[in-house]
Amino acid sequence: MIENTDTNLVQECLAGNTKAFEALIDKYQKTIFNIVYRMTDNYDDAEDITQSVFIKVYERLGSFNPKYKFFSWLYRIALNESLNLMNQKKRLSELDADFIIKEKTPEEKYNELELSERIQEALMEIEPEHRALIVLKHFEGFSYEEMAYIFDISEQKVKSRLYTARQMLKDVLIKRGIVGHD
Amino acid sequence: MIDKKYIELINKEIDGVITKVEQERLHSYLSTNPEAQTFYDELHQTSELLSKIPKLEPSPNIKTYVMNSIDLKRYVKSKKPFRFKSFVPNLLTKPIPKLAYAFALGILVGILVYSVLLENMISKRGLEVTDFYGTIGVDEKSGFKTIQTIPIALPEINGTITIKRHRNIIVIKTDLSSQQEIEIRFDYDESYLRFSHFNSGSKAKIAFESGENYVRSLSAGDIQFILFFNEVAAEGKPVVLKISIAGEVRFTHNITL
Repeated sequence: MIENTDTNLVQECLAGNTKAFEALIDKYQKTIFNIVYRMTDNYDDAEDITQSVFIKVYERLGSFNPKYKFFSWLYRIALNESLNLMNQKKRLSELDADFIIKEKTPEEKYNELELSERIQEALMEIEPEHRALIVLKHFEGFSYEEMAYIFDISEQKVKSRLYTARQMLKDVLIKRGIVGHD
Repeated sequence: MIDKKYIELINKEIDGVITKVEQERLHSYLSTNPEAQTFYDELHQTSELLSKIPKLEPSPNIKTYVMNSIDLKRYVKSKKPFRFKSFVPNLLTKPIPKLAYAFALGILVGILVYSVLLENMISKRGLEVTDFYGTIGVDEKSGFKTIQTIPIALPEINGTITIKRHRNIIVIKTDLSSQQEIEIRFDYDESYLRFSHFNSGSKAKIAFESGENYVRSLSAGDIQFILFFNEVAAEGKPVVLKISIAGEVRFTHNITL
């Protein structure tokens, strides 16, 4: 039912109805923003990428294959955009590594952070490709099949990478004292 | 050391895709392996922490920014320039033209079938005068041949009476002018001809009557009319033309068909 609505909205957009595209933005902007935020850990970047995702979606709407779910296609674009930004930032941070000034020790910093921020920081410690699987599975509840389409890999690979990602995050959370036996 | 297959079962349980049998097997294994139990607890705790993270609200300006950045006319349909290369294949493959072709083909086949049937019918029964209903003149192109022209040049009447034929149809075209009221009468052999139709082409009022073996008209001025007969026998008596003024026969002529 949801997919029929999305398909109809896409058809209306392609027929020149821009209101239909506004409806798609209303429906998905929060989810896209949150996925991108969890990937980038930066509110401004998340906002920029969310805008850029919708602009790209609109431009590529003619190439959308209706046999796939619209939101899967949308999230695929969102993740690619996020990963591209992460790669760009990684290159920049490698260049600027010598100039980074750490004002606070990790302990000091963690005490100030809320739990969700601490988890977000832990998430940022794992590779973006693994992080993306955690985000889609735990924040958006995607199935293995949907993730296989979004990442363009087999379901078996999705499971294998997701299990690894989860284990990596667990280890980071243990290391940071967030997870562990009392 | 934790068996890999149980790590998979723990993950399947977190993802909610574990079967009851697998779950029983997993928990039976965990109860005998403290290391696996610790791993299980830590992974579940990680999953629970992730589920507690609230969603953030994006800025309300996202939609406005996007709508201001896109080309709103991108998908508004515009008239495409005519391209012969794509036009011809489209005509043959697109659903609506295909239907139109099927419809046109149907009409064409219908016309062909009907024309064949009509030709057969006409050749069997011969042409009827009603096949030419509405005709005021008889064009030579229609297949009618003039077989006789009768000039009339009297002090009170002048003009011509023309006899034409096509197959078994006989047409008598009267084109006369008279200042006085005249009667034009045709006596014919009913075993040979059958009167079919009278068609007036004259502005003048024409009183017309058809009776047994005859037709007659009474009028003055420019007198134009056409009589249609069907030849119903191979031979017969000639048609007798009589033109009278005030009961007095002023002209007579035998028309042999």
